[in-house]
Order: sequence, then C-alpha cells, then structure tokens
Amino acid sequence: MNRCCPTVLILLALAHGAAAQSDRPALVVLKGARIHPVASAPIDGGVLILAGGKVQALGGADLPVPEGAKVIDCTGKVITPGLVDAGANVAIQPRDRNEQGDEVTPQARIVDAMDPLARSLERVLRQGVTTVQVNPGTRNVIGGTGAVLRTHAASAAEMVLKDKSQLRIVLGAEPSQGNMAIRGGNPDSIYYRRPTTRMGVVWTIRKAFYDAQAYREKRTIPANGAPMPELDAGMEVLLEALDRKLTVRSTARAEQDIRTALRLAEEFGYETVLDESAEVWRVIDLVAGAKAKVLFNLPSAARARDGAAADGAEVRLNTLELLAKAKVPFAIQGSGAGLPLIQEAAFAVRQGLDAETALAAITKVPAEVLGVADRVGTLAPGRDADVVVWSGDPFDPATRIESVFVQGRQVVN
Amino acid sequence: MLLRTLLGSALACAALSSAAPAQDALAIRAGKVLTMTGKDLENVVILVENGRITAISDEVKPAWNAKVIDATDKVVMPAWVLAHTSGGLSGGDVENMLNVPYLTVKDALDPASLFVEEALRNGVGTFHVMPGNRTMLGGTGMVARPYGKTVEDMTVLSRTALKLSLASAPGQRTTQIRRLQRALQDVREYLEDFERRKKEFEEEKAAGAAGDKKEFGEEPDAQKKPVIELLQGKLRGYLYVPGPAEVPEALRLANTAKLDLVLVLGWQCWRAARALTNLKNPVVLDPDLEAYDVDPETDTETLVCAAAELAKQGVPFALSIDTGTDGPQRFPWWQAATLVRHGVDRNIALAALTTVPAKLLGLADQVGTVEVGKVANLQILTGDPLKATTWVDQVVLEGQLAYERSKDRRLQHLFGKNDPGQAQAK
Amino acid sequence: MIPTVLAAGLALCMPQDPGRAPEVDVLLVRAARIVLAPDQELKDEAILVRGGKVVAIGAAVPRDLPAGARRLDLAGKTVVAGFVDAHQHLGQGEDLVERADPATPELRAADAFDPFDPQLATLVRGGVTTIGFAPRSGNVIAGLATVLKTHDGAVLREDGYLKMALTGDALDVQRKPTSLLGAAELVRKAFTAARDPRAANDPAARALLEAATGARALVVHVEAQAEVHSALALCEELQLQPVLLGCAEAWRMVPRLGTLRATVLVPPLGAEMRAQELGFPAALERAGARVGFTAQRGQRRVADPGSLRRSAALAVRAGLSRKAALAALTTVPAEVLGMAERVGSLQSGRDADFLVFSGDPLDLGSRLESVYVAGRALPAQEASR
Repeated sequence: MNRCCPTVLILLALAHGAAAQSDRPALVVLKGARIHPVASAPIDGGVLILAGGKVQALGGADLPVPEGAKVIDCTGKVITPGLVDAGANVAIQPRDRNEQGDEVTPQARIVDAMDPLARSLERVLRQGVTTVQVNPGTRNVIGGTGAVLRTHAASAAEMVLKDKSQLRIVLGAEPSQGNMAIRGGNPDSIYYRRPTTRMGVVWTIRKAFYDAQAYREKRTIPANGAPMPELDAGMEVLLEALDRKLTVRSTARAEQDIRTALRLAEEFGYETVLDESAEVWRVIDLVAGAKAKVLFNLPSAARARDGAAADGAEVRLNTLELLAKAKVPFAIQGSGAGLPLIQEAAFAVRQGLDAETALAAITKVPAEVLGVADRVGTLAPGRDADVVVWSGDPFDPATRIESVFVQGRQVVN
Repeated sequence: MLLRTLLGSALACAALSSAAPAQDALAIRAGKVLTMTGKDLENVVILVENGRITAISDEVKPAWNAKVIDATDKVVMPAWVLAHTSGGLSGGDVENMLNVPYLTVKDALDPASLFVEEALRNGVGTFHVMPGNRTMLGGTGMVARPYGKTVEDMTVLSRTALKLSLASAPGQRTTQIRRLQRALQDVREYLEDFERRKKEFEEEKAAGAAGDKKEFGEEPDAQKKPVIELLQGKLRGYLYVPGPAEVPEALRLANTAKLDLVLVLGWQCWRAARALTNLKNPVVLDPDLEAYDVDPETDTETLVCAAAELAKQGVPFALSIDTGTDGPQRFPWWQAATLVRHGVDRNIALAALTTVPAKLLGLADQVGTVEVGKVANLQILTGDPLKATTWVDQVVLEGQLAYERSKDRRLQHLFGKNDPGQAQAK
Repeated sequence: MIPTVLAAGLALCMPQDPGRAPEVDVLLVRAARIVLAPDQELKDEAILVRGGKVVAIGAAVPRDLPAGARRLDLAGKTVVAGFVDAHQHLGQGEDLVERADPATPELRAADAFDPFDPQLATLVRGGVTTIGFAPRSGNVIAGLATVLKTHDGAVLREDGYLKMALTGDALDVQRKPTSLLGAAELVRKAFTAARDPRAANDPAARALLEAATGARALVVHVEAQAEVHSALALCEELQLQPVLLGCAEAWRMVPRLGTLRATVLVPPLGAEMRAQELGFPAALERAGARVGFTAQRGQRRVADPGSLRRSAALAVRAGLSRKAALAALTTVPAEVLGMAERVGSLQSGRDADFLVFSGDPLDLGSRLESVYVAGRALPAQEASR
C-alpha cells in the first residue's frame, strides 16, 4: 500500500504543476504540416504560430518564425482546428441528463450537472475534440439549456466557453414515453402526467410558450410602484428564446417532427436548429427554405440493413450530400456514443460527402451554430489556439493523433 | 475414419469448382493487384478459367469468348476469409444446453440472412460458421461462401471443426473448467470401454466363443462422435477463451491433452499474450479490437488494441468481424485499419483476413491470395482496401461475378435511387 | 483507584439533586503525554479539572490543591480530548428524512432524537463524546443537525449546521428533483427566496439564511465528481461556505478543494481500499484542505466508533500528518459543529472530556483504557475500544 502512495502524490503534484504552468502558454510554432484552416484554403508545408493561447499567424513556409519560439517539426503531418462537437454525450452522468420532476424544465442548466474531470471528456480530447456542446437529455419536452465546454481547461470555470448556448426541445414519441396514469400502481407518481401522445408533446410546447407570453405581460414593472412580481427562472429562459436571444435546439428525427419543429419556430418566432434529424432528406427544400441548420448524428451507424433510426425515421446514406447540394449548413455530432468524431466524418466522406465539407461539419459549422465561431472551429489569427496534429489524412482510419493543443497548451501527446 | 475425412475434403474441392461451369472464362484488367504473396502488381490481366486463376500477366490475351471486367482504375485483391463467425445462424447462436456436440450449424445457416448479404457486399469470399461462444460443446461448423440459395449451394467444407467454450456465468469459472474436463473425460472413458468390449469380442471370436455373432456390430455413439474425433485428433476444435484467466486451461487442453485447438480469444486475453507464443495454430481474435483498459490503482485509462499486443509478441492471429452491432466493426476493412492505426504492420493486418484464415481452414492452396492455380475469389475495390472512402465494387467468387455494387438494390435504395424527386435532384 | 472509578460511575448514574449545590469536584490529571490540542502537548505534566471543565494546564496548575481533590496519575499513558463525530444518525436513520418534500430546511434532527438510543453508549465507550446528530441525505435540503453529548444525550445546540445532499439518495425518481439539474435549481431558488426580506419570519428561510451568513455551518453530502463540482459551483454562485461530506469518488478534485481551503468530512477508511482513496486525506492536507473523520457509513448502518481511529491510522500511513489526523478526530469536527470553544481540545475553560490510551492513539496497538466525561470516568469495564 505504501508503495502506491508516492505515485498518487506525484500525480497530484503533476496536476498542481499543470495548473501552475497554465498561466502563460509558450510561444509554439508548428512547421511543415499541411494545414487545413477550414476558414481558408489548405496550406502545404505551412507554418502555424501559437502565442498567448491564440493563433498568432499562419502561412506558407516563408512565414518568419519568431525568436524564442519552440519549433515543432510537423513535416508530413496534417493540422486541423480542434474539432467541435455540437452534441456530445460527455461529462454528464446518465441520471443527471434529464430533470424528470417536470416535463417542462427550461430553467434546468446542464452546467449544474457537469463533471469537469469526467473520463469521457478526456477521451474525446484524445480523439481531437476540443469543444463540445453538452445538452440536457431527450426525456423532457423542454429539457433546459445546454452549454459549450472546452474538453480541457485549467479550471472548471474556464471550461465553460458559453453557458446557456441552446434551449433543448424534443419532439416525437420519446418525451411522452414513460408518462401514464397510475404508473407502478402509484397514483401519486410524478409520471402521472401529460403528455402521452405526439399531439400532447406539441401542445406542451405551445402551452409553455403561451405561458411565457402571458408571463411577459405580468412581468412588466407595475407603474403604481407596487412590488416587482417574483421572477420565474423557467419563463425567463423561454422569453429569451422568444426574443431570439437563445437558439432552440429542436430534436426531431422523423419527417413529421421536423415539419412540426419548423412550424412551431415560425409560429412563435424563435430561432431553431434541427437536431438528430435523420429523416431530413425527405424535406430538404422545406429546411433550406426555412434557413434552418441541421445537426446530424453518427453517420457510421447508418446500416445497410433496415436503415431505421430513432422515432422510426428512415435513413438515407446520401442525406448529407443532399444537404450540401441544397446549401443547408450542417454539423456532424455525437462523440461519446459512437466512433471518434473524426471517424464519423470519415464515414460521411465514404457515403459521398466531399472531404472539405465533412471537415467543416466538425469544426467551422458547429462553431457557428453554437455561436462560438469567433473563438474556435477555424484557424485564423486571433482564434483560440485549439489545434490537432494528425499523423496523416485525418479521414484515413489508420491515421493517429500526434498531439492536441488547447489554448496553446499541448494537452495530448 | 481418416479416409472419410479425406473423402470429405475431396468432395468439398469438387464443390468449389462445380459452381463454375467448364469453359467459363473471365478476364480482369486490373490497375493494381494486392496479391497477398508479398508482391503487388500493376496493370495486369488476371485470367480465370473454370473458377481458377490460370494466368496473371501484362501480356496475356483473354480468349475471344471471355467475359472482361475493366478494373484498370481499381484495386483487385483476394476476397476476405473469415476464420470464425457465428453470423447468419437463424434463431441465434446460443444453445440452452451445454453439451450438444452433435449439433451442426448446417441446420441453422440461413442463406437469406442479412449477414450473408452483407458479407458479400463487404467483399467476404469464404467464411467459417461456428456455433456461438457460450455453449460448452456447441456442435460442428462449416465453411461457406456468401452466395447461393440453399445451404448446399453455399457449402465449401462440411463438418470442419467442433466448437468448445470456456465461457461461464459470473463466478462460475472453475465450475465451467471442471465441467468441460468432465465432459471430455466421460467420452474418453466411454471410448476406452467401447474399445475394450470390441477387443474382448475379437478375442472371443478368435477363440471361437462368439457364437453366431460374426461381427461386433456396434458403432460408437453417434451423438458423441465429434468429441471422439476431437480426442482422436481427427477433428479440430475451436475453443472460445473469454479472458486471460481461462488461458492456462486452454493451453493445457492444447498442449497436455494434445487436442488440435484453435483458440478464439476474448479482448482481455491480450494480457496473456506472452503465454500464447508457442501455439500450434494461429489464434482468432474477438471483433472488439480496441477497448479502454483502466488501471485499478491510478484510475488512468489506456486504449488497448488486443491485436497490437499479440503482434508485439509475435503471436499469429486471424481477425473476425462483428455480427451484432451497428458499429463499423462489421466491416473487415475497418478491422484491418484499426490494427494499422495501432501500429501493426499493414501486411500482418491484411493477412489476418486472408492468408492466415485460409491456412487455418485448410484452404491455403485455394483462397487467400491472388496466384495462378488459386480459386478466383476476388474483390474489386474502388481504392486502397484500408481507406474509408473505398467501396467494394465487384466480387468474383470461383470465377463468377457474384456481386456488383451498381446492382446492389439495398444499397441503391439507401442512397436514395428509388426516392421520388431524388432522381431529378441528382 | 478502583473505588474512585466506582464512585464516579455511581455519580454518573445518579440523578443530580437540583436542590443541593453540588460539591465542587476537583481532579488533577497527570500523564506521560497530554495532547491538549493537535499541535500542543504536555509531557509528564498535568491539567487541572474543576466542575467538569479544564481550569489550568501545565505550569499554570497550582501546587496546592483544595481538600478532597482527586488525583489521577497516568504514568506511561496518553490523554487526548474526547473524539467528536460531526455526522451521526445513531440508530434512528428511518426518522431522519422527510421524503415528501425535497427541501425541509426547517426540520431539526433534535425532534427525532431518542435519548435512550443504545448507540449512544456504544459511541461513548468508543471514545466519541460529542456528535452532530444529522438529518439523512434523502432530501436535497435535509434540515438542521443537533449537537449532543453521547454520555447523557444532553443537547448542546438544537439548531446546528444545515445539512444538504446532492447524492443519488436525495434524487428520488418518484418526486422532484430527479437529477443534479433539478437539485441545483431547487437550491438556487431556496437560497434566493430566503434572502428576500419578506421571508424573514419564515423558519425555513431563517435556517437557510443563517447558513448563508455563517451563523451555522453548511454540510453538503456529495460523492461523485459531478456532485462535488455542482456543490462547489453552486456555493460559489450563492456565496456559501460549505463543508463537504463524503467525496468518495472525488480524489481527483483534491487540487481544487485545496485551493478553496475546504473542509471535508471523510467516511471510514478500510485497509481494502485503493491507494488513492486511502491517500485522499493526506492529499487534501498537502493541497491545503482540512479533513475530519466520521464513523457514519451509509445511511442506516450503525456506526462503529472504532473506525475513527482506524481511519486516522490508515490515513497517517498514507501520508497524513499526525497533527492533521488528531485534528480530524477532534478539533475539525468540533468546528463544523460550532463547538470548538467547548469540545475537541483540552484548553482552559473547555469541557474536561478526555480519553486515556495505553500509548499513542494513532497507533492501533494502543488500547483505549478509559473515557472521562466532564472530568468523571465512565465505568472501567465499559471503556472497551
């Protein structure tokens, strides 16, 4: 037993050391790799300069290397921005994904349940994912707000890149499942409640927003000096969505649910992205017309067998190609549930998507969807120095990760 | 008995070639050929006659009546060979009873199963179907091709080997080991008793005391036959070893009890890699090739690839594919690429799905490489086999074009070819 | 010696006559080693006890003792303050949770206290002289703990620290909340409402507000990393200073707990545990956090007071300083209970609750020979651990 203790202490000391060093990331130059900035054309044999946790400059081999910089030779390697996953299944224990005390919990905030040291975060970091959106689960009709997290940061507080990044609303059959009268012989169960049908789910959403509209009237400061009414945290969140300050993430897999999601967004005037929309291929024109963005799950799981996804949605392997043709922006998501994100994108390429669009779907587009494109998702001067160095073509299944930088610090080697 | 086995394989050989009518000629103009013999070829014609490769050369001219496949922009390589799978068995692969050596997969293999369909789509040319991993003495297997309307059509080799398993319910490892030892010992004792009675009869007959009975007239119990043959060294066994703790018993059965065994290893068995270096046969690996290994003391985890650990110790192995999940472990190319990602030599990775299993199945002279004289089991790929973007474009089995991607109706459907409105959009 | 002990035992058992002024009881305790506080020891010196309190230590002990003063000469022995366990349910776990409502800050464990609970005798025989009798972790905001003396069940403070829990037990699937999301929202709402001046007379609000202002401690039960993070983040947001209870799976959060100078109450350690669990208290100390031990394991199990000393010894073996180990048994839990001025150390003016060990209390080979409460020994045969 004694034998083991020094190891623990060393580990802790290391953890301390890492925290102490974290104040000033060194000046690092990555030289000789093929760089995919995503925002601009690829550069062969390029030079990427990271300083102060940001990208300072990038360019061809002729870009001068600043003095005193740590130069890392990356000849033959490929550099991409750190990957961004718009819907990762990490950092939250299964129990804490859904607050099932109510069907409508817009006030629930996923950051309250995050585990900043979760192993799942470390895993996706080692797979090159440096930014993730974590969401409440799919059991509630209105589940609460998600957050954009870095997969590595010096402290838990710095890990949160953007709190309240999206409000999750779930359509289809899932949120009504489990609700029923007298569940388990217990008439007092919290599950003895609405909705139990698809129409019930949609009404629950409508009612929530009607309530929010009514709440807005009450909430206006009374002119006669009467005391302010008590603020309702959930209603406040719904008002933000109605005022288009908060994007709604509409989880809608089947065609009918996608249509409903767009209809509701139009009806109440909120901005929405479509999530897990496997059957979006049936309504490409509608989605393109509504200027909605699409978050697409796990292309590798689409099976040449029956091709059915959740909520009975039918799968097509050319969905992403169709979206690309119709110029609908989309992201590929789902770390923590399937393959590493890069390999999910590789499967999209296998299914016919061009490699450039596939890379954008795991970097630039999700960063835009999440409203953090000024920080992450592309390599350009001033962006966070979140960088992945690959041993070769990132979409080659035999390619390994050489290193990952987060805010200029090398965190995976 | 030995004669019968030999006869069996002779029949099997006949089956292999009978699928291709005589005079049937096929020529493949290949841009690149991965022969799996150590030398890759470029811009050659592969000539196939009566199901076998008769020439590979840049000079050969196909006969006037030969069907020609233009693969000048493609890669040709041997169709995959799977050393061990339980895919395609209708009604599942697990028996409730533990001791059922008399069962045979032939009675359960479903030619219309999705496994068979996907195997062909993914470039598999030969696969060894075995009972599942959870039955102690599970029955005998067969080698099949993923083509044909009946099991007979699909059969390449019958009654290839007996499946054994050390898998146990939690906490019952020792019970399972004892149970398997007991089951084998029962048959051993039965056989000794049978031989003794037979010998006694022969002695009595020689002494004239046998009465009217001219022949001994008894055959060994048919239900025990596969186990008897296993004990006599006439039938190979495929032994599932769930974890490293069962490895010593597996080695005892293979080395001390002198059974001809192929070990089918669960993922954790990589821990026992050093003990596996002196086996007679290559091992077969679980479809789950990579998994996280957590250090119980420090809680730190490492992603471990079992095959890479075995390769480090020089243990020869064949790979298998997943038949149960939606994960990419269902693709042979993915399995091989996983190995390369973990630093295993590309040729070892490809051999684990071609030459190594071909040898294990006793078909080394027939499949697994692209060579003159071999059966023409070929896959024609759109690119390098280990690239994610590569598709199996065509599969040739025994000289016959068995699969064409452009005519794969299910794949076409999944790519939206039948969707209204999609045709115009394209 | 023996008659004295017997007399003390009788005195302990006899009800005191309120009509007669009790004779002032003076006791001089001399021992090879007297641990006054974790960082203060006397060697071959004495302390003077009068009326159940320590009145003088070391050089300050007067040479002339009043007539009738008793002398206790403990050559070769070690004396330490009676142990304090800040988190105990005794045998009354069933009554310490009001399930129908996840937030019950106004409830007091005192109202569930059974003064005849046999567990009290077990604890005092094992050297635990003061406890925090706490509501169980079945509710997110569980209620107020009560500070008790174990030898007679005397309540020192009825409304002690506020107990909260973010563990699985508090997140019941049959009522709200079912997740950390809901629990955090509930806590946020409760403390925000409590700060509203209009709620000043509400006992629930007062219980919360006093925990927020530091008038009482706030003990939060957490186990998994996410729960620890959630508790720390919430407390930062709501400006609360929590004491954490549990943290079984949070050994990787030690640097953060250290930075916050947190106090952590650690459940019993066992020799079968992994290195990082056994090393957790030592790591906390090195990082700058404080450790207290509690003998309560789980919700309903009857506590074994001997586990306190075992935990301390195992933690010392894994690198915890002796000083911190002694503090973890005495002064740290006393502070959590808000009773540091009365119990947990043998300073002048404090309760004369002390334990006599045959050797170093952190050496498991030493025997607990006798337990003194308010300067009086428990019957010898009862001090058994």
